[in-house]
Amino acid sequence: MDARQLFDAYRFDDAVVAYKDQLTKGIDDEWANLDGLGKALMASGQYAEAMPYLEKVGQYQSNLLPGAPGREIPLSVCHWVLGDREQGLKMIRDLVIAVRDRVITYADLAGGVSQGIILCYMATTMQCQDDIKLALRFLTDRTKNKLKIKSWPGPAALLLLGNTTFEESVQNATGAPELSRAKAIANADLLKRRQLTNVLFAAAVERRLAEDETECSVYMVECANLTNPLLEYEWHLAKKEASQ
Amino acid sequence: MVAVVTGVGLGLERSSASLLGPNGVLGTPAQGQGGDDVSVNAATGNLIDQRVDEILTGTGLDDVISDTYNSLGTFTANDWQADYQRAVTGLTGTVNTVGSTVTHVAADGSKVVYSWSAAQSAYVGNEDAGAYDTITFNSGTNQWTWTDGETQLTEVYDAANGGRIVSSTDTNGNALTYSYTSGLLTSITTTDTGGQGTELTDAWNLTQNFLNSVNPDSPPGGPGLTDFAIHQFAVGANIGDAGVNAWAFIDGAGELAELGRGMGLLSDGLRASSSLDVLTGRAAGIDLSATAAEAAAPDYASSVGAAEGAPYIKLPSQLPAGFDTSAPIGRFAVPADAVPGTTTFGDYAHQQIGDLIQGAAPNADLTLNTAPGMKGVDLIVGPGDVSRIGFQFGEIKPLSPYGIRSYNSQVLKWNLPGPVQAITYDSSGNIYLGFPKVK
Repeated sequence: MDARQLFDAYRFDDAVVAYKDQLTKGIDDEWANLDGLGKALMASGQYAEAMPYLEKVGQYQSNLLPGAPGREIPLSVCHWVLGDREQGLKMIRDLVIAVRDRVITYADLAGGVSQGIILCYMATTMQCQDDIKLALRFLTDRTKNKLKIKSWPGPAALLLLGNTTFEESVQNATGAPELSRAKAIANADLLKRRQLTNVLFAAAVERRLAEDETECSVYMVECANLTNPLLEYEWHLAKKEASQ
Repeated sequence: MVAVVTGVGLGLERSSASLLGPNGVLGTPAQGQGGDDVSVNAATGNLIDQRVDEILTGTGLDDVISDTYNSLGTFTANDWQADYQRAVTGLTGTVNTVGSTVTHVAADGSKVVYSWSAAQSAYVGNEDAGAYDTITFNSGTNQWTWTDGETQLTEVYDAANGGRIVSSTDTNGNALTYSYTSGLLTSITTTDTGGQGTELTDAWNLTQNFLNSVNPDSPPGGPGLTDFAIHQFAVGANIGDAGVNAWAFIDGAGELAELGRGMGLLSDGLRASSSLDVLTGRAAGIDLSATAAEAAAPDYASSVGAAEGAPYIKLPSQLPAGFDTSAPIGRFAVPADAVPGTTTFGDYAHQQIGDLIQGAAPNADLTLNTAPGMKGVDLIVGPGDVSRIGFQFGEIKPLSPYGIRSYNSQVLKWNLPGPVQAITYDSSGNIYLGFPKVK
């Protein structure tokens, strides 16, 4: 198996070794290997080791195309998980502002909901009122595009903002309204798992906003207990919370 | 304003405009903001509409892509001709012998017959302006060489392939080279071979279907408007928008029926209208209505493992071996109230295709342009995920001549470091790779 196949098989430690080997031997595209290595390191919990690769690939992508998002979201999450919360918050705040102001013109299919929810989480956790307002305003703006907000992770923003219920969101994400069934479905389906991750994390943030730490914690643990959704970086935030 | 000229044949090469200059033109041809030059030949009744679409500037010759409509033309099915469709053709008699002739079809559709001159050992044409142009034939290469008498610019035409143009070279050796794939023009390259032996090369990013965009078939549904009209939209114009600034309709008989611009319409003398409803309604109908590809599209869903009737997409990396890429690679559901050809429909298609791609490759990092149509390619795939999807940059366009033209223009402008995969859709929600069968 090559590095990418190992990653897709959730053998992240093996993928790290394989990506490094491929880089050394010049197998496959260098940027593909660097990108894969950064993700594999992050997936295996080696956040500090992942950051240089994420930065390098982010720079490459930004240079490639003006308006490209780089790797700001995973980098922000790495900073946060490693304890540098101020830097994590700053990076995600800057990204939200850049998307809002159309300096960054590429985002998730919902127009940048991912960074909006992560900013809301970080700002709420650190009780930064200005950033909470920024995040909520940004997410509210995303919901005004009735077309985009239907694309994931758009429905998670609707949940966080109180425009839909948790059950509706879970059903939307997985096809089943009950969390137990939804989790079973999600475990066998990466796309649905990514969507359920969005929902559980948004539900947790919504509860934190409401100062209901008990329920927030329940959702965070549920989110963290999902198998790694690979590309939903809030899962790492939930995992960090759940481990505390 | 429309210019009035006189003379024989098509185009302007043999008209009073070419032979007499300004004294041979009544009125001015410039029309509106779109850059069209419209002339009427008073002797023949031929309506000529010319427009420069794109220019690639190079040292020496510039690569200028322009189109000409001749209402009396027969060179193409719809009477439009691109400048790179010029050719040397129609040999009569025995080549390189007295009494034989050959015809040079110029960029604007003008046809000039050249007669063999034993004295000059060349075919000589004397119907257009300036010093006599000549054509010589090289039997070794099976190529014609046309030489402009005034500038000494030479053009080489391939006799083995319908007399199509191969290259154009000025007196300093700067050249344009035309490349073809499967009979369709795929690139035009400017080359500067300087004294240092260096070579600068820029190439148009053309698709194999580019030629088709100016050579559409007759409408498949019989009389009526065709999608060909989109060809005349200004680059970047949104079909159906109030900002549409130029359009033309070809009727079922292949004749130019109307020219339109902005909110007001310009009549070619046949018909005139000024209704915005007509403009938007027809624009909507133009975009994707019954293109040949759509009418003939087989349902390949089952062959790529998709449930009957369900939205699906198969990415380039997932297509089965031997898949006919002229067939749809997927489809999305089209709401009953959707109006193809509108910006709303385009936005909807973008979102649906984005969702389908993400669904087909849930482990891939995919970002979407938050402002499609504004600037930049529509989709970016993370460098580590290119092999999962099969492309790094994706551009979503309607499956139409307008889509091709917009794609070519934008891709050229963006100058991305890798190929851009065109992903196209028709009004029924079928999704394709590239622009198959667009006429």
